[in-house]
Amino acid sequence: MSSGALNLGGVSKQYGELHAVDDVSLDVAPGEFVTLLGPSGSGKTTTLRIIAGFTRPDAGRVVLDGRNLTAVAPYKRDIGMVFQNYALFPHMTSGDNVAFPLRMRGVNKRAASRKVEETLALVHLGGLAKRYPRQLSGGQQQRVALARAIVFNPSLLLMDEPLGALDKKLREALQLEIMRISRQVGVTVVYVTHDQEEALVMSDRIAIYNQGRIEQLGTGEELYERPASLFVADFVGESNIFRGRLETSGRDAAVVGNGWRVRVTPGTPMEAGLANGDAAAVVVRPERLRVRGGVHDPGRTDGADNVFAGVVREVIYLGSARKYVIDLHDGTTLQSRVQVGEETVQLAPGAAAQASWPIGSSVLVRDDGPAPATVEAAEVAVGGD
Amino acid sequence: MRRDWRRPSLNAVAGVIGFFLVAPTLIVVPMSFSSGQRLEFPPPGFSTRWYANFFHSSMWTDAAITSVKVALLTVLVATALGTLTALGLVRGRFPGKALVQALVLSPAIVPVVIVAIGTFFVFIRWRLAGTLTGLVLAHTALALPLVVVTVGTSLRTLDRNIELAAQSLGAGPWRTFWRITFPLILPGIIAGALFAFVTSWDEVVVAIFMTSPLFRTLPVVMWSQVRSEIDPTIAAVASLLMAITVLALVLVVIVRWRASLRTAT
Repeated sequence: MSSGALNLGGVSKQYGELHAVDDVSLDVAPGEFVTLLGPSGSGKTTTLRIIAGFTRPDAGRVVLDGRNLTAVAPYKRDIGMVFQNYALFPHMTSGDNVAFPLRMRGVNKRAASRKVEETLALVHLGGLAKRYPRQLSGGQQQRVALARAIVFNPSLLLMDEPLGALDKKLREALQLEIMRISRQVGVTVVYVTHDQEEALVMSDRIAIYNQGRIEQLGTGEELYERPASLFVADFVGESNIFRGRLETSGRDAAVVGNGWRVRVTPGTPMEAGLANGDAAAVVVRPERLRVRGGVHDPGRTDGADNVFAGVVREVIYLGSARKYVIDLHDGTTLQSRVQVGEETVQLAPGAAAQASWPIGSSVLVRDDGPAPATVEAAEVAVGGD
Repeated sequence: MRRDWRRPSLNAVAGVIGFFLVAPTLIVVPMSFSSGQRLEFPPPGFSTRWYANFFHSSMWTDAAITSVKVALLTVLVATALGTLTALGLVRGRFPGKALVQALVLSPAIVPVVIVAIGTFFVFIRWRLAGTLTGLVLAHTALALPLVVVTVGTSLRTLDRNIELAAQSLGAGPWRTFWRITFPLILPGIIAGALFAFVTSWDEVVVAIFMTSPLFRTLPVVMWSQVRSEIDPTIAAVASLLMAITVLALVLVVIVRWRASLRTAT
């Protein structure tokens, strides 16, 4: 098997006024699983179609294992592709579907049928070779599509929201299956999804797409713990977001808004390329927020912590965790997530509470994006739990 | 439970409308089995003599053979051209596409007499009037819109990703068409071919202009017979024409039904 190193260099595609893909560069290592994650219309699927050769980029290069594919027809690229709606050939049995790429490559019948059998067994569909796609369930159809895309040992496998049409349980089972299979055959994978949980589960690295550009590329942990922009912070996971202006004085740094002040780790403004007075935002993940009962002077800081006082509006039981929604006195809302069993006190709705977090848990980002969704709306968009 | 009476009354209305539509046509069938000398309804008795008369007259059988020839050749040319046209119109992107589409579909909209007269004067000059080639060409123009529309519908409902998948799996444009696209739009092509057959088989207006005394199709001979002598042979011929047309249309229904079974998930 060839190695499967993919390089995209300055790839752009414009439809009329719309920059569908805007100067995207991406290097994927052999055997790596990279996910393109972003809202719909952010350019991730167009990028995938450019790699597959279905869409010709206006500018930039697609290079696979040192071979420039930019002007190569899709059928000469040797790239496997799995589509969201499976795109199985309805007039062929699943066995014939999987055999199709081998036939196109002139593999002799005996070798082909052995390989088809092997691959169907790999995706746990042994014995279903004679069935037509319409006789298979959605999950089985997607397994056939996967088998068909890897049976000819491509060095690169592209997957376009392959699990989008399946229910949650099946989706989670197939996520693990796809990971197992892609590792087993050692293929490089570029995977497109808008489901961030799926991306976190499956990927070695994730590219966050926004308006045709890669906003940030990194491991799931990097994106979650150190988002490079307000968009990424808002898109990946749930967040409490404080938008205001940066104030630095000496070694001390804080983002200041209307009646509040959130301290950040000294030095982080420089890392984020921010100067005194710049529009900035602080992102705090709900599980970093501690909640205690009792009243606290608003805005006072307590040692190394940022502390805010408010009233518990809702307590939501999520099974493994409990979510506290806290209204601050200025009308904004904070969310805290506490593991069940690790709570120090149980607070009821209406109770006075104070939320606090170490300043090291504040992530400082430049506030350049359009207004991010409110915390409530972000929850709906996450939709996982 | 208002539905309880709505359904039967809807069926009744539909039945009455259907009866009014087909009754004038179906009345010809009992008339063709008449034992009498004249065309009359109800027929005085049963006989198959007028069918025998048809098969023993070289005027009628020659016309029938001509009709079959013209219809089959029209099917061949119209289906091939129509399928290619549909591919171009559905998949292609080129300037003036809407204009080409309108031109291709125009024979279905322009009154047939106009098409007939126009074609007649041009074909006289080209020495195609009164020839098999001329009539096949004229009928192809009439049948083409039907093929383009039925094949076009099949192509539009075909998931584009299926063809893209074939390409990504190593099939070039030619093999993608023959292995994937063609088998999947075949029901549409067959339906288009049957419509093309029926169009030519029943067509009388253009045929009147394009035929000669030595080269006549069944509908043309019927037309000239109706004007001179009316005997029940006409009814027998009409029944035969109708039987074949109905057969073709039933085949269309069967082909479409089987296609819908195959693609249903």
